[in-house]
Amino acid sequence: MSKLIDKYIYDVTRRLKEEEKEDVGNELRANILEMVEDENNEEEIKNALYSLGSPRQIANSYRNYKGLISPMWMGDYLYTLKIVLIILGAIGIVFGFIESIQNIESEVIFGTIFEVFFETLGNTISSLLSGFAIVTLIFIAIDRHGEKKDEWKIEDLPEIPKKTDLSISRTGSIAGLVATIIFGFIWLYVLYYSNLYLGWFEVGGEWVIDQSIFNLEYTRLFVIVFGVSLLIEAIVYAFKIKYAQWNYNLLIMYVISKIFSVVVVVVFLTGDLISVDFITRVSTELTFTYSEVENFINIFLRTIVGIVIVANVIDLISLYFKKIRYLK
Amino acid sequence: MSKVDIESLKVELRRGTQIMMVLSQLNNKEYGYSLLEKLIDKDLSIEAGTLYPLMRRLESQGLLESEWDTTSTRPRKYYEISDFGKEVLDELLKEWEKINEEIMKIVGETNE
Repeated sequence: MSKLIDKYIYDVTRRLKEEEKEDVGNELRANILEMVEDENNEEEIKNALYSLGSPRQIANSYRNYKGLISPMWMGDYLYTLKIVLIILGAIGIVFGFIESIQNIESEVIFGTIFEVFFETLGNTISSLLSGFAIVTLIFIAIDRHGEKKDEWKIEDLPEIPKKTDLSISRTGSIAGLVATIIFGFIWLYVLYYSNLYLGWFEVGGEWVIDQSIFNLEYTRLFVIVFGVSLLIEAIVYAFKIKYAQWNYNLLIMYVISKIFSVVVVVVFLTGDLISVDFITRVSTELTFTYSEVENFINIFLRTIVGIVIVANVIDLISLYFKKIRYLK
Repeated sequence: MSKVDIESLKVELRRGTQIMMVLSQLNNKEYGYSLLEKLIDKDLSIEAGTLYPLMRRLESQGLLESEWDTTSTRPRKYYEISDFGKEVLDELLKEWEKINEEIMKIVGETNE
């Protein structure tokens, strides 16, 4: 029996499912042997094998379908993957940065930058990989177990996005919506438990919060207000996805949501946010007077207020110049 | 259009018709190589690397039935068309005639 035939058959069957390896192998061997007159004539065997084609190609023909995800689902798969990776990338960068900043081991500035950069990068890559794996597994499951016939209704057909200067990318809007919801809920959570996460820390074996920065009652009150703001933003995103282009209704909603969220942030930052105990604590720890610390914090908060207002004004102006003046 | 494109279009066009060729030749038991020779004798172009996997697939779809014959010196896997396969072949042939008529009609109109 020729070794070449064995090797060829092995190369084909190793690509097949366990239960069909033996049978396909036997049949292939029988067919190859029919094709040659003399089993010991290597030239003849080589010709027979070449006429069959490459083992990969043959194995592919034996398998009923060619990829993990059939063409029917490929488009949806790639689209979902794109959105999920954008969101996970953003989350990975933010959380990787926060996490690595909290646990800096290096003592020189260059080492710190190096460390933060690579830890953030590593964190982002690992979250992208797990996102890729999860989306792929879900689509393989849909592909294997879903309806083979693609049932659909006319009503399911999406609107054709008009390619004008007014168009809004649906992918961007979906990513924005999901990111807003995720970060929004994290923010609400942090606000609600602001006594646990934001404060003057005493390091004694574990991080123990000693003096919270914020007045807990105040931040808990604002959970509701920020919640409403978040809801409005989510609604605006939903309409962006629906229309996929700017129109007057969307513009009005967008401006209202912007103004509302700016007002909320400004009120939040200029109110009774910082706890008296925290200011007292900082002034004693850092040997400043109470009013010096209070002044410094006020300047800091007002700067943030200024930045928020300016950024949003710029956003609205650029929206006007890029999009709105094309509205007829 | 380049030559490669024409070839791949031809392969694509042939792929669907090969099922009819194979089913129509399996009223009597044949094994892979004997069917290949039979088709080649009738000047039908199909490659061994296409034919063998195709036979197996048609079997898994219930259009062919198979059995191993180990009594002779060389073991052979024989295939034969199933009753369901005969029904399917009839349907496919009807469809083929319909497509043929449609193409001829539409091409004829354009060429007038």
